[in-house]
Amino acid sequence: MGPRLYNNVDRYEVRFNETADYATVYPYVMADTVGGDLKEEVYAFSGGLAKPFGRFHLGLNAGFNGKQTYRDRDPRIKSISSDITLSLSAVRELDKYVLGLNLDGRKYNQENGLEFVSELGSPLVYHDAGLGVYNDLLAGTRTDARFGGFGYGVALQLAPRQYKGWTAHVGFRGLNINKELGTIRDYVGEIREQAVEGGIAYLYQQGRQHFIARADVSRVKRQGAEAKFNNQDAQVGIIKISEDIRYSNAYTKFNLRAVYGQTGGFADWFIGIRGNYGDHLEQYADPDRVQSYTYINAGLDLTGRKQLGKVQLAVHLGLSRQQNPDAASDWDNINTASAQYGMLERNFAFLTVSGTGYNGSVRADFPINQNIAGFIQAGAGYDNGPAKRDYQAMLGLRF
Amino acid sequence: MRQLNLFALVLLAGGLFITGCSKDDLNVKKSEVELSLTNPTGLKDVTVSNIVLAFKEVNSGKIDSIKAASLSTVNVNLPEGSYELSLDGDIRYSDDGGTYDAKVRGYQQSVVVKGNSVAVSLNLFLYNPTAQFVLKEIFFTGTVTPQGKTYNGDKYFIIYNNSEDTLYADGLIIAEAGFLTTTKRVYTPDIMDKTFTAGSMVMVPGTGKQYPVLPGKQLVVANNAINHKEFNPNSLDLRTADFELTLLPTINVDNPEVKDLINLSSAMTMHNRGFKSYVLARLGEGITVDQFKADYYYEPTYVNSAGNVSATKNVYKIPNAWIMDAVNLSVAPMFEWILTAPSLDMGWSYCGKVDSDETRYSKVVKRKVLSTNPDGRVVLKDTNNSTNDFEPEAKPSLMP
Amino acid sequence: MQQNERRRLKWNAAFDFATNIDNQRTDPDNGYAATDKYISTYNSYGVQGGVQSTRLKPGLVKSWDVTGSLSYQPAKIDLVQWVQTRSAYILFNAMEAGEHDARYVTPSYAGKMLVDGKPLYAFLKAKTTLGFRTGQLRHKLMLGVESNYSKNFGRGQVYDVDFPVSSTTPVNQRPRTFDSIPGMWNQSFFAQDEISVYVGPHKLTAVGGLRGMMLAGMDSRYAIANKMYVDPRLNLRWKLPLANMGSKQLEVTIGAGYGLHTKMPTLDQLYPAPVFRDIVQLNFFHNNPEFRRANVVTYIMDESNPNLKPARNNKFEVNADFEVDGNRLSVTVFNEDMHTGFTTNSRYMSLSYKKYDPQSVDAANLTSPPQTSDFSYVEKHQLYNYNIAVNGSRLRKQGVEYQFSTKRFKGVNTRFTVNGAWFRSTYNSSLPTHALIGSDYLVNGEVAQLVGIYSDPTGETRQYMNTNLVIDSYLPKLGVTISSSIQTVVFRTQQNTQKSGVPSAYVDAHGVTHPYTKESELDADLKLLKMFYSATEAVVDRVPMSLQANLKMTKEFRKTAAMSLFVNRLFTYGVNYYNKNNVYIKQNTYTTPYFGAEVTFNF
Repeated sequence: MGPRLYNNVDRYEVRFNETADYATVYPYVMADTVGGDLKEEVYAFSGGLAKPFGRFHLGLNAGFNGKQTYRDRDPRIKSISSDITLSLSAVRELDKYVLGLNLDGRKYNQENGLEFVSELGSPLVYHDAGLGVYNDLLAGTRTDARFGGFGYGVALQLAPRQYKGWTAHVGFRGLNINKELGTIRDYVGEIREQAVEGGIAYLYQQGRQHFIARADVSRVKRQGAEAKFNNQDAQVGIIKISEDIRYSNAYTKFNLRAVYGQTGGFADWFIGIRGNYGDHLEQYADPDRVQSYTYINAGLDLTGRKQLGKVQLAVHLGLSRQQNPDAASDWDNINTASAQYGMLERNFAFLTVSGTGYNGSVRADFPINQNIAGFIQAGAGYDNGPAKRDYQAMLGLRF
Repeated sequence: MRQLNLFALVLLAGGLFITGCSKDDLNVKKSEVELSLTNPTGLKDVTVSNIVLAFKEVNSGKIDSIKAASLSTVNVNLPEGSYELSLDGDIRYSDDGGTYDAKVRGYQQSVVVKGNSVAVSLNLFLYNPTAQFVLKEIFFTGTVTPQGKTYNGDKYFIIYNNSEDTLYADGLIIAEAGFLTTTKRVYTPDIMDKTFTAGSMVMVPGTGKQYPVLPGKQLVVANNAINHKEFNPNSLDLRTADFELTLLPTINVDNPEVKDLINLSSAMTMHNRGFKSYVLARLGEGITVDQFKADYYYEPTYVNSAGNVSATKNVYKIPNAWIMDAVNLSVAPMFEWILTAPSLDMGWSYCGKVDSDETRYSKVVKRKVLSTNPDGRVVLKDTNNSTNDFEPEAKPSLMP
Repeated sequence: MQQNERRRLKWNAAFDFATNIDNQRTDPDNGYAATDKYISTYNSYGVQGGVQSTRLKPGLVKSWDVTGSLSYQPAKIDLVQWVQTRSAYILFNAMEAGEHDARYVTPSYAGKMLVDGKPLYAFLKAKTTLGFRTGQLRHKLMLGVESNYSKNFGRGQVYDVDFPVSSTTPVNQRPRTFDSIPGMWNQSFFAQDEISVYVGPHKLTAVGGLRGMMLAGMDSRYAIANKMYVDPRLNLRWKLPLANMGSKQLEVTIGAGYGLHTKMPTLDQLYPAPVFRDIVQLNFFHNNPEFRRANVVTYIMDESNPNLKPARNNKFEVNADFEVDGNRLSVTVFNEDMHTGFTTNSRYMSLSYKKYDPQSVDAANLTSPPQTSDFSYVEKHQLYNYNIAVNGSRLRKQGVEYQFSTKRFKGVNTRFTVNGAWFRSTYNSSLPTHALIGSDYLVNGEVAQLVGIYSDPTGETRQYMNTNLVIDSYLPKLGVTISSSIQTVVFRTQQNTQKSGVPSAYVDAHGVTHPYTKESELDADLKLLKMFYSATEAVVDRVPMSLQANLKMTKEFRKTAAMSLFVNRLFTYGVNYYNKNNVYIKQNTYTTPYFGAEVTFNF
């Protein structure tokens, strides 16, 4: 039986998005100009079994992640989403290395509803198609959307049997999600995403010294196909007449990370550096809108760990700097007085801001009894580019 | 190590392959539209000129406007989609009486453009504006109280004499549509090009010359001709209205000092979100109310979304020839069709940008002013196209 | 527990209490924060107990027990709501019948209402089991009595009738105290004898019994008051001797049964709320508030049906059970018929009222408030249509139910169970119905002037078939129990009786019935009584298959804790189809699974 968790999340001032799991179903979210605070509850559990077969080890793992999102005042969002994953892995031992193959499948569903109870009325509810564009015929009061789709992935991994030497991994994943709206027969939007990733790492350990360096690269490309409809009459309803791929979002990321540390002694300490480079391009056709930017992010961090009796204390400090060398945006055919224009401009400014960030956290791990261990963690961070502050506090039990 | 070298190679190759984002070739399919125009029937030696075509795509809301001097076929390249097509132009024609210059129009909805090429044929119709009684202002949204609750007793119509003669309001009918502009149905029989389907109709009483209206003067027809400020401080005072409607008995308010209109078929409840059209009409020559109800009863059947055949009850058909003015009302995201023949009114007006728009209250649709004569008489704009003739979401003229 | 040599006596008692804590609420969108308030309190008190005696030595009386329970659940809703009228409406709030002057609704005010409910439920049951032999027959006789009582002592909706809170438009309802509804006391007895006898290697069992019930303490004007209705039941089972099938043994049991089941009407059907019908006679809304006058006539109708009888259902079934090596198959075929089912039937009444003419008084030159008698009037009539509960429908049901379960297979420790059913039910009602002409139709300028009488019978036939497959595995080494099920609705059909919609007769506003002829269909007003029915009403509509798969897993942690989680609709599939009108219906839409988890700790 794997990890089980329950999360209760409060999101403040969510605007232009009345759909949960934005990162999975973008850009086809339901939206309105009002928005507000909302609550989320997440339930997740997973489990699996593993069995050796000669020099092979086979494993099967299944997981379920359910989320409920709601808001207690107009616009009253009520969304339930579920994510079921099933993965099969095979590991083969070679002389010094271990080769692993992982196949996984994913089934995603979301029921997304919106309700207004005020006797005065409601604002416009529209369905985003990317970069602030929406279908006029479908806009209005269609508040019943459903998402569903499948994902798949293949990954290959090579790791040393002893915890030192080179490691490498390469993987490929795909995701196809469709959106249904109300009683319309055909899909309103289709998301097709492919991602490729790979990386190598090197581990070195000698006595009390530890060193790890890794490089990863990933490329994700998501395309959205949108349908056009004709409203024939109330009997036949809305019929799809054509479909085009109108939306595309592609980004590439390079990450480098190296950590060196020493254990034993007064305390264990680790010092790390980090470098990230990203290149994003988001486009929409007719009206032609585009948003592209690149960023470079470099960071330095220090971690210290000390065992005090039964309690293990860890302190982490970090510093980072982000720069955006290139940034360009062009919104064709947009009313500059509309709410969507303001949203696009603010969003672009947030994504392309440069700044310096500082963060720190403290964590204490302690055993409770033979089977159960617990931990407490607290942290804070500040990023002066978007003027973002975050705080976290965590309490956990492991059994 | 051998495996590792192979790996590193694959990785590097992959990295080189995917490095660098290139601009995608996203494009939208387009079609060739071959448009042909059909002249109005019964006209000879027709020439059409000064054509202005508007193609409005329903999914994107984009309007492509094309001007053509005179062509019997117009070729245009448009993205695939569903279009609302409207045409305005000049026409010269002759018949037994002589040669005439007039204005011509065309209107068609749900034109599907897809594939390589599409042939679309558009019927033209003559459009002759005549000045008579017109609907000047319609207040149907009601008002909101200071505590945020709705109040709807204060709805009214304003009828205006747009001609230069004195007209008599006796026997004038205000009819509300029997269908909705937000639900398009295929009715059997479909007679919208010749008649208007009316749900509730109210008529001004009188023997013929009892209610004169001078040129440039108006009549206020209120749902309830009372001082609504007693009930809602944000409302208005309608005690001086000229006529009052008789509503359903449980909700009717009767000011004895204001004349009531006669209900012909059912008590009128003005649609509060603006989904119905209104017309001004008179019964044909020599036709009484009982004759009208017997001969002009209309029971259209339609197929609903579950596939069952249903009938619309208690509606009557008013021939277009009896109608002197028409206004279609709808709301942009919900609009599906107009309820009048395009020759009566080709467009529509609105109060509210969405269905149940919370900002629609205390607003009217008001006819625009075309010109003011030297003697002070105001002429209102009436081109039988409410999209252009009316000012949407305007302030009620009766509110201080 | 007491024990002596002859019997063992046990008793038990339980008390439970529940209350709610989250009881204050305001609506952020529709409420007016300055005045609105909503507080709901709920408490539940329950006590139950029982005594049971079991005889240890042989004797006639094998055991007896008495159980009883009492439960009281007072609930209160206290609410204040800002009310705004939508226009100048007349206030309909007279509590007595007759003509009276009425006032206009106050434009805006804070309405207060208290909803007070005090339901009480009491239950008492006494039962004894006797055992004896008559010759070869072994008897097990069970006798018992049962009483059920329920009544609500609450005050119902309490509010000032001059300032109603329920809506912003006039209401034709009045407050009703719950206490005024008589309580319901259902008294029943039962006697059942189980006779078993061995005829050679065959075992025959017959269970016969009677159950009687009556509604006691009712007003004698009701036909069912204090009348005992007796339901006979009989069940026969024949267990065949074990037959040999290779190395295994087959056990076959065949049975048949017949029973009558009585269902008493509900309190709502016996004591419907009195209906108030208000008709506006005069509405004189003068510009001067002092000179306004409104007059209303109120009729109060009692829509109860004292002739209402209970619904009685006949059921006959035949079943067979086969068991071999732990695998079991059981099949049941049944036929039910109910003639006296509850349905509603319409009635109408002609109501007269005085239509006063507001123009008969010179409004512009009034010097003092006018009286209703100052106005002239015309005598008019209106029709009123209402529904009462009657016994008048027939429901027939035929079907087959089956269940097949396998033994638990070794190794995987899994058992498969398949169960399903098919049945067809036919409903029809041949009572004539009445319908008032549409509420917005004006006949001679007035509403509610015609009622149509329709004699076409109403009916529908439905068929339904479903199959479920359940797989459950128990893995003791991991401490895990997994149960997965696939539920399929194989098909559903529905077919209605075709109706013409043409009335057989009509009633005018004075209450006089006239036949509806061919000329009536052409008359400008009478043609509005024709109802429209689609030509495809009588065509069979068939919905094809839809299925869903569910999963439930439980893991035990060494008897201290158990965690279980379930996901319903983990996987769904529906066949999209064209319905009887050739419209494409989509059954295969995306639905999200329904999930939950439960953790139990044992101390």
